[in-house]
Parts: sequence; C-alpha cells; structure tokens
Amino acid sequence: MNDLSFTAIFFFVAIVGLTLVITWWASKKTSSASDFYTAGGGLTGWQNGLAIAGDYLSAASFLGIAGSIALFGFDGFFFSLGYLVAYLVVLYIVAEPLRNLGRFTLADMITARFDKAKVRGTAALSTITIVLFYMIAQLVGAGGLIQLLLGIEYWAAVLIVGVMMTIYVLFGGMTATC
Amino acid sequence: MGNNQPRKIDYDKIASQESFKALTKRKNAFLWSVTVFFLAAYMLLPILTSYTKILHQPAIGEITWVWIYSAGLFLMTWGLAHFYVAKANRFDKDAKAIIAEYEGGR
Repeated sequence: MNDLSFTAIFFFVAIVGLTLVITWWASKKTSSASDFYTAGGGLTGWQNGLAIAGDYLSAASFLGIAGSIALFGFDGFFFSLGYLVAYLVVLYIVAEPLRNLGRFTLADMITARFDKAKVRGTAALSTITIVLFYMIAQLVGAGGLIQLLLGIEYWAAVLIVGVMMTIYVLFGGMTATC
Repeated sequence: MGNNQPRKIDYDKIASQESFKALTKRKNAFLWSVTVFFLAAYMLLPILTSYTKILHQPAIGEITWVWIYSAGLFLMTWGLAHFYVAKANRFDKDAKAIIAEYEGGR
C-alpha cells in the first residue's frame, strides 16, 4: 500500500465523529417506539423525502448505477428504472393499507389484527431473511470501500462498518439515521 | 395519529357498514387501476427494447425515443406519488366519517 491520503482519513474520521454526535443527541430524544421508528412523527414529509432522496442519490445512483452504466451502457441504466417504479409498488400496495394504522413495521401491522405470538414470529423471520440478503451486499461494498480508503484488512473494514451501523441504529433510531 | 389505543374495536361491525364497503370498493378500484397502469408502463419498456426496434429511432438529434420513455417513467413516478397523496387525504376524510358513524352507533 502506498502512503494513505491524510485528507481522506481526516474527512472520514470527521464525518464519523459528526454522525456519532448526532446519534448521541438523537438517543436523548428517542424514548418511545414511535420515536424510534418514525422520529415520533416529527419528521416532516420534506425531511423524510430528502433523506430517501439522499439514499437514492448517494449509494444507489452514484456508486451503483454510475458503475453499471460504465460497464454495461444502457443496460446499466435500466436498473435504476427498476427501483424507481418499485417506490410506487411500495406506496400503493404495501404502505397504503397501513396508512393511519399507527403501527410501523410489517410485523406490528399483522399483530394489530391477529394477536398470536407465532404470527409475529413468522413476520419477524421473513423480515430478517429479506434484510439479510441486501445487508450482505451493502456490507461487502462498504467494507471494500473502507479497505481502499484506510488500507486495512478486508475483514476489519467489514467489522468496523457493521459495528458503526449497529451503533447508529441502536442508539439513534430513525431520528439519527434520517 | 394511530388507532393503537387498547380498547375493544368491533371490526366486524365496521366491516358490515354500507359506507365502509363503499369506501373499500372505491379505494381498491383506485389502487389497482393505478398499479396496473404503472406496472404496464414499466414492463412495456424492456419488451419494446428487447423485441422491437421502435425505440431505437432518434427523436431529437441523436437522442433516441427510449430516453424520452425513461424520462417519462421518472415523471410518471413523481406524478403518481403526488396523486396518491392527494387521493389519500380525501380517503382519510371518508374514513373519519365512517369511524364517527361507528362510534355514534354503538
């Protein structure tokens, strides 16, 4: 490895520090499940939308789509149309029936009507299975990035990313991540 | 913002109300028609690009029709999202009326 760019490391540490401060501040404000999942309903539509757009712009589009267009041309651009229309699928089919329910996850929504422990367990299991797939992809990508940035071993990079993400979500909830 | 108070709600009674049935019918018609529309619009693009050459024609200068179609999909998504918000707010009012009817009746 050549010499590590000092600027890159400085900015990395600075941003991680800033986000940790935000997480700490958010954990002070989070005290209920409502706070944890949807920032107590205190996020305006604009804030929420900007956060989603930021996700779309940064990870998905800038890294993924830019790369796939470079490699595959229009075929690469095609993927972005996929998750664009997927937003509508989520809106009209998944989110619409849950509107005004006051429950925040698919598991909660099912148990709001069917109050059995097994139903909740199955819903949680299915959520975990789905999340596992895309979490692995994200951790691989982020780990590779950190490894390039800091020049550390791959497994250490993935570990750091995983721990950081857990801290953010655990202590900050939606307030911090948004 | 939620109906998650721990009181007993007679769901069957609400489900048998005429106004509730009418509302679900309207809502489902709206949701499914929009869903079929955007799914068809979205699926049409790979079908057209894979099996025909319609979208290969240049539209403006060097830009082929396929780019205009794709841009149209973006506009469609934004438009349908706004459309949903407007419609859902109207459905909310109807839902509140039904809840009031249920609570007044019991």
